[in-house]
Amino acid sequence: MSRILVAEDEPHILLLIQRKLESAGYEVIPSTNGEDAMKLALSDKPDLLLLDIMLPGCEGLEICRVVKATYGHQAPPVILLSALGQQIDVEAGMAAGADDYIIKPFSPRQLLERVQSALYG
Amino acid sequence: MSSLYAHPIPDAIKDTDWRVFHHLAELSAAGSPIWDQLTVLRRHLNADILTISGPDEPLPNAARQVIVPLTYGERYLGQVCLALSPGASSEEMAARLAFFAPVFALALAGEQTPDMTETQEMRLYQATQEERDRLEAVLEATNDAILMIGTDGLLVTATLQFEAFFSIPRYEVLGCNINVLAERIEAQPGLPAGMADMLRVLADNHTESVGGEFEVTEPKRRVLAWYSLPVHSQAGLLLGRMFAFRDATRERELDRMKTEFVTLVSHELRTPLTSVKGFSDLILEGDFESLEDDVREYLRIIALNADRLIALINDILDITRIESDRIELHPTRCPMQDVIEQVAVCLQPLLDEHQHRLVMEIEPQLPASWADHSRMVQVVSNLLSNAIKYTLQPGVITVQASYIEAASDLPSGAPHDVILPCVLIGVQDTGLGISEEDQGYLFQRFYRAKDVEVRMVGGTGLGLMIVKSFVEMHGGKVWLKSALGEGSTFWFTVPVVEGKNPPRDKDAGV
Repeated sequence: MSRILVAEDEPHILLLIQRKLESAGYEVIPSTNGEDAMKLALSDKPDLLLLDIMLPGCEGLEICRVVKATYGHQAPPVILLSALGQQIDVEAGMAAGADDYIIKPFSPRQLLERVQSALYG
Repeated sequence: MSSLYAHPIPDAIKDTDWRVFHHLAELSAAGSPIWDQLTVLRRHLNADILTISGPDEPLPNAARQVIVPLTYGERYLGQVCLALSPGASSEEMAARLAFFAPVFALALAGEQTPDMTETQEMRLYQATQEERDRLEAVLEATNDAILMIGTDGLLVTATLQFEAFFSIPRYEVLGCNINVLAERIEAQPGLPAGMADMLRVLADNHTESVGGEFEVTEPKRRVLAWYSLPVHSQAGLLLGRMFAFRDATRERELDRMKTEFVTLVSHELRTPLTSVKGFSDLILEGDFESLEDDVREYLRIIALNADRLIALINDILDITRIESDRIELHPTRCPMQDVIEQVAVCLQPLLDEHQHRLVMEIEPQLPASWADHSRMVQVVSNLLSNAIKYTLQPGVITVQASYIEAASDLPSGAPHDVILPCVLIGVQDTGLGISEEDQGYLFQRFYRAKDVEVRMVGGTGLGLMIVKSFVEMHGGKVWLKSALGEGSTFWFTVPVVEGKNPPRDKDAGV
């Protein structure tokens, strides 16, 4: 069973993601701020990271960069999550090494599909 | 003695002659004696002798001279005589002299009118002076910086605001040649590099009206909107060129604040909407078998309206960016058939819901355009979803795409200035149609057709404005053909950079 780190400061959205992923059989490591998420990402090595871009403490992009740099070829896939729908943000996300980018608002089913394709893709 | 009486129409008047002509006219208007004007002209024409004589007075005695009669109305006032220097062309000099003659004729005619009494003259002088003071006071009080350059290239007016905007004291430049001002501007820190050249270039231009905007950083950061145009007296005489600079700093600041506000609000709206939409979807997508039919229906309505709100926020964001010129295109080699196919796949659920049939008539091997793929997707998606939404009964929606090389191949009603060659895309529906009255306003923001049935369909009135903006940003055109009850066809073009046989393929030996 894959373990997914979800970092999202909005508790309702975190709950939404958690429920959807858990109902599909994944284990979710929840986190509501950037510093915790960074620690968890480095200590627990989840199988996938789902990171909000704008997190208090430490931005999702930064966590993504550190994770990709630390684990190198073995780095888990990272999906960024943000309400910033502009092309330039997508490019910044991809430049930080993210594997995918989901724009809020999203449909939970779409989110699950993207997670699955990032994991088994 | 060879004399030439001539009154030819000068066909090519030198620029310098024009300037001197206006200068003389100004001297004359200012009441300077006719001999002063004669001196100016004599120097300009490089002549030793230039005289004016009355009808009965003898002509000067020179080896070669040209004589131009001075007439005013039916009256013969005398003649102006110019002694030709050796080698000078008599025809050319006669033509040039004839060009200047009206100034002297006018001055002579003025001198010959009976004198005014001294009191009359005094009153006239006072009235003129008062009018002049009033105008000056108005100019000084305006918030715009105004410059006026006379036809002789001298700076004749500079208002108080000019000092405030550019921190150049007026006394340093007033009455000086425009080049002095230009050099002074170049030496002044905080002014844009091109400003001096702009003044120089325009000072010699007596026809064009131009304008723009630039930023100065000293003495204060300001955005200045400017315009410049030639000014004429009521009699039509060219007086020179005026420049006006207006402080547009606050306007720009407000624009920026509006954009930031809209962006922030839109962003903050997305977060709660994510929860609304997410949780209703979670229930609808989940295995909640127990859900009662009406509860499921209500949830579907909640989700649907959340979707509408999201679309509205996205549209408002786009409009805000369009209005503040912040849309950045990321053009790539963009095959339009890929765009159309992508949109068709995305909108399949909406098509199914309305039970429409989608017909694709896409010409094979369309050349690719150089376009921003995601913007083109938005354009086609807006047009196609409109076609679906505004066709209330199950109908047929046709998407056409073809390569157009000649204007004659465009469908009727196309604008005249379509850039060719291009790819032409049409989205045709069998829906409500649009009245002629509404068609004129259709591409304006928030405009929605007046028809009640149309109003029943959800929409923001932003989609078509976005379509038009994006299409035009790509150098294309958009237009429509429609009538009430007869469906609509929306056309747009995207210029193509390569022909049907792209050179790259030839290079590769394909």
